[in-house]
Amino acid sequence: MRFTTLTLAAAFAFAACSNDKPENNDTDTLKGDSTGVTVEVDNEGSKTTLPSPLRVAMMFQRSGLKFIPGITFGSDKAINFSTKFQKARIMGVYSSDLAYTVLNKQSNESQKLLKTIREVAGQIDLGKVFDQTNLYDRFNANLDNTDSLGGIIGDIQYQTDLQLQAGGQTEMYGIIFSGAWVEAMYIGAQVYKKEGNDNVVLALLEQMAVLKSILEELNSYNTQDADLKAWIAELSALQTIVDAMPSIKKLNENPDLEFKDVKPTSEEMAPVIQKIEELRAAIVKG
Amino acid sequence: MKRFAFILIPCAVVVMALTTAAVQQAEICDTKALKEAAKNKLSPYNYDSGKVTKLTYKNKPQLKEIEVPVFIGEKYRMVFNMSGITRGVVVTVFNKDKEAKNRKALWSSKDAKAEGGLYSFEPEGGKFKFYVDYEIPAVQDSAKAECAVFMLGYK
Repeated sequence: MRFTTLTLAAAFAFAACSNDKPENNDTDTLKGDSTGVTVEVDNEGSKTTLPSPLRVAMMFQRSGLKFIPGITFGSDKAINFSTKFQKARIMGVYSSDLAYTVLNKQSNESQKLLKTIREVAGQIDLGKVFDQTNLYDRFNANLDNTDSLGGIIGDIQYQTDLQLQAGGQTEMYGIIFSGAWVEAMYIGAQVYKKEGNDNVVLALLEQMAVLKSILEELNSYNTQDADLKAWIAELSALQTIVDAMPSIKKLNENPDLEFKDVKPTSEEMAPVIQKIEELRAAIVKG
Repeated sequence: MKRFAFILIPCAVVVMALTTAAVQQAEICDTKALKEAAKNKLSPYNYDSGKVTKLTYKNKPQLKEIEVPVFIGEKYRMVFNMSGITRGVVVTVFNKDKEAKNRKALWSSKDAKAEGGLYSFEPEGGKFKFYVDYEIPAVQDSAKAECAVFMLGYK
């Protein structure tokens, strides 16, 4: 009897503990490609990878994105951020600003930005990325060599990924990258507004495909954190605006089309850019 | 108060059990060593991103798919470290996702030679995304979960 009571209590407790978690069916079935045999699809966890901020910046660079002083956030404002969530997002912003300045050979600003990134990293348990490596010194010793800096930034990204995994804080990965992505889109949008370069519009369009991956990654965390939930809602609102663009609809309906085959008008881009500016303002406000 | 404790104590036991299970899962493989080996194979490409995928075996075949966003005009190298896999998992890279009817297999570990459990592949083209599928075979014993490591480099 006592055993039965305990068992029932444990079962009840399990239900109580699990109650506020969403119902999540992690499996599905599918016919195998080669065999035709029905296989179970394992949907557990994140199903996407996210590109590094440097790779995003390089894509914009290939589109002819010019350097315009004053667009980046500035390297001296990290002090305004108090929560780990805010710091992770702003670290992403700084990562994109660093990539933008490195690719445009702005050595002094790059040096300051890396110093700030190191400080913010230390505040969100990523201090080992720099403390246990010589990456900071290597970066400063190669300031005039963009190719070498590309490799060093790749190594910083690698060490960051290792530390996130080792520290059991893989959720930070999506948050940091979402900040980086918004900043890269913000820089692209500002340059487009000032220069009107059509290739930058195509780069912005190509980057919009990444937003779905970001949302997929963030949603895979099944978070109960209010800040992250609100941030996911904001990014989802941007996705809705993007999906409503005639150019995106045309691309989705015609899989053989390339980005260069669709030319979004400035009217189409306006609500997207406005939302990106809002998101960026929300991040830098802290 | 008693009623509260009646709910809380078993709840704590369940949470502790789940936490222990999570720690055990996290220790199923040496992810750092697997990643280090994959990164060495990535050179001379710059590291972009990596993903450790936990593969859990069941008595029916399974498929796990990972999406890899790509951009036009870049050269990529994909590295798979399957040295921690003992159960004949097949990796295939596709141009479209598992739901697409006319997708094309771009590369498969079935047709490739591994060096120390490491495979590498340099895809060409790519629009929006590549899709990495892990085909996990059915097992009849109580096989432990294992880890596959994917890494992407670019230049």
